[in-house]
Amino acid sequence: MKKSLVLYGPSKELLSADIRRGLFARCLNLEFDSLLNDVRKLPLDRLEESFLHLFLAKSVQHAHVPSVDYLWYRFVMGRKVLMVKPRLLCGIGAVALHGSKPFIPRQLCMHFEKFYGESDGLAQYHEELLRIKVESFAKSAGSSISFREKWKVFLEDIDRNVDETCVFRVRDFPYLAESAANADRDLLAQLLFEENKIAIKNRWTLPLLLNLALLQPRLDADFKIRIFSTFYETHKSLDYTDSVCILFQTLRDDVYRSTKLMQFLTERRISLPPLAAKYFMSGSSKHS
Amino acid sequence: MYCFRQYFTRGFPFTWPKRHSRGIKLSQRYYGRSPRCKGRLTLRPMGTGMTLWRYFNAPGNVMFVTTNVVTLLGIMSYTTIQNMAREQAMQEYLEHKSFGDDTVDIELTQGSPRKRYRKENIKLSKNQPPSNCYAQHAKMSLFHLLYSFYICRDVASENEVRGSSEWKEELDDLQDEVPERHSSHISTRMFYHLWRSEFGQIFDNLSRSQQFHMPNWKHYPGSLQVVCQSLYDSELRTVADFIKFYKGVKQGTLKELLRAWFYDNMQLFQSTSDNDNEYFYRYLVQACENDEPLFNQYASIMLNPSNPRRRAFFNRRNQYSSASLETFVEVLKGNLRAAAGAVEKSYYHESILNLVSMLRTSCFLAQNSNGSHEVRILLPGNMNVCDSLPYPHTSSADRFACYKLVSENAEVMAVLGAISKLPS
Repeated sequence: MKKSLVLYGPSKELLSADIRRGLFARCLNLEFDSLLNDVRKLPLDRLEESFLHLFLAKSVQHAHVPSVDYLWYRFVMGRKVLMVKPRLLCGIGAVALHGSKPFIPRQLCMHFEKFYGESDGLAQYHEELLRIKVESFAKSAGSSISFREKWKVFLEDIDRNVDETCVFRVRDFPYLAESAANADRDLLAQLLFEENKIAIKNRWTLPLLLNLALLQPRLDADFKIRIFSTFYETHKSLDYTDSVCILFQTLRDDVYRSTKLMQFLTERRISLPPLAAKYFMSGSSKHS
Repeated sequence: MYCFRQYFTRGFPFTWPKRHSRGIKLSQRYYGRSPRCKGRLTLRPMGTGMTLWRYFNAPGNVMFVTTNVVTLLGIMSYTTIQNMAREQAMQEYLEHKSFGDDTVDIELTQGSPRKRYRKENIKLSKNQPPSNCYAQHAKMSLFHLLYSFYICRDVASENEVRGSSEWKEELDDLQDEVPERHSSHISTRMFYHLWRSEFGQIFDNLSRSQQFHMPNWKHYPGSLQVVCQSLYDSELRTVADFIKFYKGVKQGTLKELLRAWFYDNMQLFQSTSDNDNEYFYRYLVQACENDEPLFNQYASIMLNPSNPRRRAFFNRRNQYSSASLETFVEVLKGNLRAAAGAVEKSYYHESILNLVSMLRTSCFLAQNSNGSHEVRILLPGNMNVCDSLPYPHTSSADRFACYKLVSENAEVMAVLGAISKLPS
């Protein structure tokens, strides 16, 4: 009993000024590996707040995954002594997403809710954190979970929670696009054209799904043009900038189909984004 | 170079005309008369040596070879001297380096765009290990509540306020803004509700907690000073910390405030498993006897399975959260009391029915710290969890023993008897 008291009692003596200066200097000089090793050995309750904030910010800035992981679990989640600013939360999310730490993004969202839940003006950070969460799920679950599940997570986490004016672009969801490769045509068509259990709020959600399908190299061009035109006939007022660009990019070497698509667009008076026009011109000039 | 080529391809360059005929002769000797040649072939090394010697003997060639040798020697000595010089320079460089690391470091890093920070140049602020965000938030919220309670009380009071001049100034400023005072007294419960509706959203999220520092409480009224000091000293991390703080507060009105605050902010405190807080729950239920809404809130912790506050008071023993018979009796008594005073009695009657059926169906025998048996009551909400787990009491003998113990408890029997006398 006495022993445990000695071991776990609150330590009163603080770190010497020299050690503290050394910690700061090494953090500023970006010697993360050795610094992390030494910090692990120090008692947790003696590290000062400003150092922890600096260490976290620097390791996020330079994407040192082990440090971010350690600080997050020890000080933010574990001892709950650090409050992380929304911008830095997004940084941690990016590091965790690319450093393959699948559990952190969910906790980032929880942290954000607890600390900034009702605050105004932070919606963009919330959206970014949700995007990271969905992307991280799509990445970490791999091919063991079907695209249907991943899309459901997108609808539940992002479409339901995010403001209706928020714009979703397909290039922001590379891992979701990657996992859409596992979806077969029937599933994509079903998700796109049939009523599903979850109602869709945002007007960018369905075009995003369409773009995810159009991006798949496995699907043939005829199928892509067909779903695009069918989808356009059912939802005329949505934004198709990305879809048109993607289609013209895939049809770059196919003058016949791209010309036909061009005819379709001009008949329907769908505006042609500059990038799509560039693809179309380069494709047709190469063959003429 | 010219000489070499001539020598290798044709023979001896400087005595060309004479040797020419001999060269033909030689070839005739080797190729033309092959059978005789065999014996002579053995002499060939000597012949080569002779040839070399003759070649060397020629006056022009001596000079040529000598020149070559001299050039070679020159080159060799040049490289040797160069090497030596380089080695010496390296030696000097190393010696120089060992004198001072920093100078070399600076030379090396001068080219890099990244600034190198030196330990000595770092200015330290006050060493402050961070405090728990939740504890900070609890302190901030509590301080705000207590401070506004005192301010409100003193502004509303019609008597002369005792206190320092700073405090009085603060009151005077506020009194100018208050147009007229309707009543000099607000009930504590009322004050808490007003405070919560007015300032509740400040404390909805934790984002402000890290910027909070306790202000200087030197000028506050004496009793507030004491509370502030104990709030500052308290760690307020666990439920036990709060209980300690609560016990340190002397005034009844403040305790009332704290009870109301605690119900709303219980999620800020960690519940540790090393101490049992059930006794505090019993105390709270007793203490709320005059405050019906708060009593209902606290009673719902036991009755309502979806109330998340349960973990703060009822430690899970063997994965079941259970309440002791004493706690049960307190809640039952409180409900009876409230039912007697309430206009709408059906809510309390339902609660009483629930409680009695809990006692009937989910009591079990447990060992208390003294080693003797006691009756505990399984709280509702465990049922769906324990599909896979064994139920604590299994045999009817156990249950019989439970009932026997309950019937021996005079207090329980008295309360149960009082239920039968309830007007329906």
